Amino acid sequence: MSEWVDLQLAHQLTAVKAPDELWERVQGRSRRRQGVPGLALATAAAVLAVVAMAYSSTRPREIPKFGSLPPGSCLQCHL
Amino acid sequence: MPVALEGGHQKLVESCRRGERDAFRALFEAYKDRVYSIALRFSGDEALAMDIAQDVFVKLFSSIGEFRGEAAFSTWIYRLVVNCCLDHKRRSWRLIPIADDLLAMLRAPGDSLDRMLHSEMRERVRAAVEKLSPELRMVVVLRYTEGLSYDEIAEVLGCASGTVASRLNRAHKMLERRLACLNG
Repeated sequence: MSEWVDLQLAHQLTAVKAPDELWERVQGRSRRRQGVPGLALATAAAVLAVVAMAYSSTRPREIPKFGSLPPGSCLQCHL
Repeated sequence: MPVALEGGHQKLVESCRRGERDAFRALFEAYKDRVYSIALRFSGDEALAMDIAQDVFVKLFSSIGEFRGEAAFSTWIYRLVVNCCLDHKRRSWRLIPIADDLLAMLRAPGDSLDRMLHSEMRERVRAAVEKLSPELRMVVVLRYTEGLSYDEIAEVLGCASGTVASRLNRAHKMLERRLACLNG
């Protein structure tokens, strides 16, 4: 066993005093910190990405308006 | 150190069972620092440690009737802490703090920088301990934060003293490797 590691652990993992607000928390007077579960955020991001991809792949291509076609274009298809 | 409590815990436990508020408070005051310290050193996160400590005391007060006095009262509480720590670890998703951490940073940016510069070693050791598996980490925390003997740790964890020694040995070797660069 390394004495140096032993010493570091003894020095860095010392006991600490509990914050005063712990008693309030135990009594239910104050709530846990507000937060958003990481998994929920990741899921929301994934859903948004899928919706965005689906939207971009199914969006109909723009069809040229008749008014913008040069005269005689219809005859190329409809003889 | 709740030595007096260990001797007279039965009366205190009885008072808690009767719902006496002062008894709950006395029990809380006697053990709050131990519970919070283990939670903090195990989780490495102050907010998470508060959640764990809160859970421990809520469970303690709601299940104090189950304490039969077969083990020392402190052993019983240590078991509650260990179970709560491991439960929080199993619920693998960590909360992403929105308000608390941001406010803390805004309140004391100078302190944050100062801490960053002066606590390199502490951070490295803490990070190395955090990388240990929960089983190894808990043995390290009970040994170094609480100063429990191998036998006491074994009683809390419900395993043999040899297992505790083996886990500590493995933890030491891993930490030695990970912190080798700091040991000039």
